[in-house]
Amino acid sequence: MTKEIFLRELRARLYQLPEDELGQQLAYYEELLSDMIEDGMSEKAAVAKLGDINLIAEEILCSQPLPALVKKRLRPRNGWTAAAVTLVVLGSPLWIALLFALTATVAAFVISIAAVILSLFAVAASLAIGGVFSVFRGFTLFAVSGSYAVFCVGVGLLVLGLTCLSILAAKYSAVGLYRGLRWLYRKAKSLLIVKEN
Amino acid sequence: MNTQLKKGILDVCVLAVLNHGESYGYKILKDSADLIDLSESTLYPILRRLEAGNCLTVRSVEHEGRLRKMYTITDEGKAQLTDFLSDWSEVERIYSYIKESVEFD
Repeated sequence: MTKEIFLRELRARLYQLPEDELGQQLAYYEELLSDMIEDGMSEKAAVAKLGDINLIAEEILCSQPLPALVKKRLRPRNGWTAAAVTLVVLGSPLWIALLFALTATVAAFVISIAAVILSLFAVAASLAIGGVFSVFRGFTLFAVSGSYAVFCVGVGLLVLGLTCLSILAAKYSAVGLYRGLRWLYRKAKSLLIVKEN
Repeated sequence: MNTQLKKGILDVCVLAVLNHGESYGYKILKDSADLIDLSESTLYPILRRLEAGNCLTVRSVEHEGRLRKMYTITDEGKAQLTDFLSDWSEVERIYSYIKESVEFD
């Protein structure tokens, strides 16, 4: 592959990128290739040294932030012609409804999981209050009834133990939700990246 | 080298190369070739990250009728290098610990 073809192919794979970002990436590789050739490498060897062009393009695209990818994925290949605009406007009842439905689904999913986590914390809080109350009540009852006091303290400590378990459960669920959302974000990004052959 | 370990070290390696003087992409790759496995596609994100972190500055210079980007290390970049060196004693302790635990097996 010649230098010109490499750069042209790279530009084609990166068409989704914003102009200045695309320009900078191409400038880096053009400079690198020119330096390698100046250093004595043949054009073919220099391009070969860079590796698989598809991998390079994929790496560059994956490192872009999600909003930039969405903006560019939606950009028509030949720009905003009258035909493209007309299509978008005519199709708006469909894509607006679909977009709304998708957003609502994702929001509902996240909210329901967050609600579960919140209720786990609420359970932990109420268990903590109950446990502490029982322990204190037990201590105040030692003068009145020894066995009942011990019972109260015992129950209190058991409940406090359950508090710890429910706090752990809530914490792991929260971490799980965070990791799940991060995975979703990366998946969404990779879906927005068009693979060229 | 383990990829996670490598990730943390590459940025500092590039800074170390730049500490010898202003340099450009291809030269950085050549100078670091003996030190660590740094590929062409890996270098650019590193340079961008370092620039965003004010660890280096960029300027365009004319060379043989084309523009070449020259990278210079900043004071912040040099501070990163000294931080790495002071972190290293901690790494050495962990190394000794791991070595001991492996030999004890």
